Amino acid sequence: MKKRINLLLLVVISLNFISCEEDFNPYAELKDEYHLYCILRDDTNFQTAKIIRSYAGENLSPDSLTEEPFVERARIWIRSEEEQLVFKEGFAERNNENKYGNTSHYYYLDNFRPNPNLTYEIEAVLPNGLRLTSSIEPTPAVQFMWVNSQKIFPPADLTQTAISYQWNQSNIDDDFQYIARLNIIYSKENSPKEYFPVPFIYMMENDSTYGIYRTLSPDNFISFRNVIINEAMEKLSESEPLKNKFTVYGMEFEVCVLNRSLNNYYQSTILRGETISLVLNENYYTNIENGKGIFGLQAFGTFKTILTQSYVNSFGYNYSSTGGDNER
Amino acid sequence: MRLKSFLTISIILLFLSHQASAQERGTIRGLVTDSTSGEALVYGNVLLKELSTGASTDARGYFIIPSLEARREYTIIASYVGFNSKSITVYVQPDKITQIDIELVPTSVQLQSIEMIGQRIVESNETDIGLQRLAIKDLEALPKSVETDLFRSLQNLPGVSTTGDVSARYYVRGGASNENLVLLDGIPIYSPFHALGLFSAIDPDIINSIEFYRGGFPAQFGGRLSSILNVLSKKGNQNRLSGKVNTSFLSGKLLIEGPIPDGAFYLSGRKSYSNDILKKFLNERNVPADFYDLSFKLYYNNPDFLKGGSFSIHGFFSDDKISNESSKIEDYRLKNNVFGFKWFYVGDVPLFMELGFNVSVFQGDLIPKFSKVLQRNNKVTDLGLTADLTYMFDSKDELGFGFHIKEVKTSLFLENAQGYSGDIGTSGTNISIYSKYKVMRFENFGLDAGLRVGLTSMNGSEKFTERFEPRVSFTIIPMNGVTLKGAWGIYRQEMTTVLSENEVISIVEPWIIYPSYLKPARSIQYSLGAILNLSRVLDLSIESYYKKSTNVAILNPEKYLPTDHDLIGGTSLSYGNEFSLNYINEPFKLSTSYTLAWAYREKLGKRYYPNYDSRHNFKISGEIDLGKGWSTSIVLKYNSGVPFTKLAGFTDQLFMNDLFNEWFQDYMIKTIRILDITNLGRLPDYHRMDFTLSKTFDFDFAKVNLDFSIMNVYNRENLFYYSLATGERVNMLPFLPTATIRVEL
Repeated sequence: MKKRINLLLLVVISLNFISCEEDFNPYAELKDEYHLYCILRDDTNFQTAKIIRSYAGENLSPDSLTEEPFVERARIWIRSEEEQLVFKEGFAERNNENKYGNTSHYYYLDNFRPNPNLTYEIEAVLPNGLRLTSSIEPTPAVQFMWVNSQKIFPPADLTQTAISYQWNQSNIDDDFQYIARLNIIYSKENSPKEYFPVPFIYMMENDSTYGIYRTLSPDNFISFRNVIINEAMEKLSESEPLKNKFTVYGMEFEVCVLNRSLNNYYQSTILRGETISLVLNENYYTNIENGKGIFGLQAFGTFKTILTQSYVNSFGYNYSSTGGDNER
Repeated sequence: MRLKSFLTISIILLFLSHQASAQERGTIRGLVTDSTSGEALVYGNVLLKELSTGASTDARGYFIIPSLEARREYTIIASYVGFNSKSITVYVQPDKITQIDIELVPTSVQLQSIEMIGQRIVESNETDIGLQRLAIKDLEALPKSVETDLFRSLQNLPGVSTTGDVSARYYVRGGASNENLVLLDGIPIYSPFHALGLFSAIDPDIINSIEFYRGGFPAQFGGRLSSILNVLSKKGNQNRLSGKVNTSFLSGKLLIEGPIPDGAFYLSGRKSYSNDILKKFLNERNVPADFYDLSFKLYYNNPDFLKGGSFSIHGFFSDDKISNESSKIEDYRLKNNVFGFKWFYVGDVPLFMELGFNVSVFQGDLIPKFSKVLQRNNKVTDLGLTADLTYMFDSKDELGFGFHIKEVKTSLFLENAQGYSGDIGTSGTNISIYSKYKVMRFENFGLDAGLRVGLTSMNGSEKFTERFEPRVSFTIIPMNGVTLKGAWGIYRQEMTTVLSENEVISIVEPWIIYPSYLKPARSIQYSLGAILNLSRVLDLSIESYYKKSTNVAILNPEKYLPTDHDLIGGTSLSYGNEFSLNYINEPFKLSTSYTLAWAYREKLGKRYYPNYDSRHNFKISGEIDLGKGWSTSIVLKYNSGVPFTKLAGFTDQLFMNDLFNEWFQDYMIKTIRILDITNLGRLPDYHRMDFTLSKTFDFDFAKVNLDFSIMNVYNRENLFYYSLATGERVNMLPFLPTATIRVEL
């Protein structure tokens, strides 16, 4: 019996060495696909657009392509009821480097600031004759409600434990989404002004702290607790014992509104992947006819909050009133 | 109007069938049990020696032989795989039911069987096409994937397919996994899985018997299109206090069972203690999974209290957690709380009656914490009241009648892509009445004709909608050794999961009632089959099926806006042929099955193969009793490649990391795949061999069983998927040795 069982085990274990795998090619023929990206901003005169094409990766690795798949020599028009403009072709150094290096090709308009209240159309004709088109409906410009937005911090009312900002009248029929952020404007010694973000809340994890920030939301109202602003003021110079090297100018609250199609696109592309679930196919929103990509518009608004001198000095920082006034 | 007709027909059927007999007749009714535990022996054989006829025991261990000439003695021989046969002489009294209890003693050398039991039952005209009856020892004899597992064992049956090693989810005859109903003592279990769907949540140690319908299920079952898995738990040892301790690389288990005054109980619990083995299933990914399950039953049968009645109270509770330490990674929690009460009555007339009340609550939560994952909370509360009656006529014909009242409430709290959140759950009431008539009077012919009528009010509506589900199945024995079987029926499903077809690993599968904009799914199914007893030791079974379903709920792939529907109605079509060959010649047992099948789905006007469509499916399992407590078994599985969508290139997608920055400056790219036509490609063929070697030690005080198993003996590198980020090929389960130890006291 013992011999038979040993022999059986030997046969079974030896099968392990007959490991097999077969060649398999998961590729179909390359499908030509063109993506047009153009996101207009109402806070600048410089508008950009980009057209990219699909590509085949070698050995199933998309990283094998090192040259940006930018489509050159396309003609791109943007039209409203007021004007029609033609994009020019150019390139710029990117702020960060990706697999294509640090040069970014794009099409641009250098003297155009969109009016969010207008309807815009875009048309791109590619060198191969393909025509990509799209249009966007009006988007509300950001209008702050002064009564409900904090102008001075700390509040004069000592019982007030948080400050708040409110913008665009709430309308339940609207499905616009807003993203908002509050920054402390400061500089260190003679360096340029910098922005230090104030989070919604600070979280402690593994002896380190990180901030949780407001994500895209339909809410047109936000509050920041005083204690969080105090904590941000301290963290601003956390690694520097000499606090008087810092000058604080005030706080700036910014709101960005996305038009409907851009909001749909953003939400469908944001990295939301569950860490365990595994999804093979990906769907995302596009409003480009004959291709993919997005034509959208972002409208911005800024509200400045003055920090009182005594408050700034209480942290050991220098105080400067320049840059603390509201421009709108 | 149609409901009235149904009731009228049922009453007429009852009337017509009740034929008075001129001769003095009597009935023998019996219960066959295991002498060591008092547990019912289901689907066993009972032979009436003098008439060379007999019956098989039902799912509760009962049998009835009606219309026997009275005032004479008969010899009853009861037999069951793994037990010594027993012969009893019974005197049949006129116009009475003679009740006998038969206790069978286990054979000293336990026969391990991986064939379906009940295959050679005396009642060969039983209308049971598509039904596979399994006993727990069938599962235990198979090679173990870490430990004995109910769902992974089902995957060895013909017509049952999977998408790989990683999930215990199964697909029956071309239907989606959410078209399978899992019942534990008649109560639906909405999330019957542990550890990301890798294993079954139902502990095999509590199971007495399993009925698995791959199609053609009779009128008493409803609510799903594809399959019914009816798991019946044991009563508990009625003779002595006993226990089982079981440990594997994954979990530890404890079962205590024993007698109580006029009854029995069992209490069973299982708890995971290690995640190391899970890594092997998940390509070395560490998933902090933790689970437990707990079940109990109290069985009471006092002959002085409501004579002929027995009561049981049972509960099943499971809790799965995936708790990540980091607050930036989401957590999961899945819970089942199931409770049931049953009253089973066997009266002085040949009537079986079972009344039940049950509650099944499922809660599945995806807790995003501070990750970017969208929140998901699903709760299903299912309250059921059931009554099932079976009356057996002297002619051996049976009339079945019953009603199932179900009140289901679902809540599904979803945060959608636009950041809005809301509850898309609802509630519904379903009253299902069924009636069926089984013609069993002819030795060479059996017929089961039934109708299930569902009265459903969904989504808060006060209006009830009638839905008719006629079902017919038959058996013909044209010659000795040849049995022909067939079935036709209409099936409906009013609940579905909200699950992407593209998800290959999913944790939370939220259940909802079909939304008001979608009609419930409806399926029409045909099946035909034959069983050929080629020799005393060799059987060949062939079954063909055709299944067409409409309004199958599919996640809307074009939902971008909050106003877009979450689900759309699709269609599915599947057909195929299943062959199985069983050779039993002790100490050898060999089972082979081959399925040739096609499955299609259609959504938004486009037809495609679902990702579980496998054209050829071959399984062979062999078992040898080596003697002296040693036994071994081996299983080889082969599936032709399942569909996948081929890669038609890559593109760069704008990924807006910071909405305040100039996008062209910080142009973040996310590489995305361009996909070819949905599921037009095929993955390489899948095959794997598993092996187990068992040794049982019999001590005076305990029985100790050691199992050593190897999964994927020859380390086949079965493809799972390609990583998008790296292009790396990710394979399924590698060569994996495991071991379990079980001590029975």
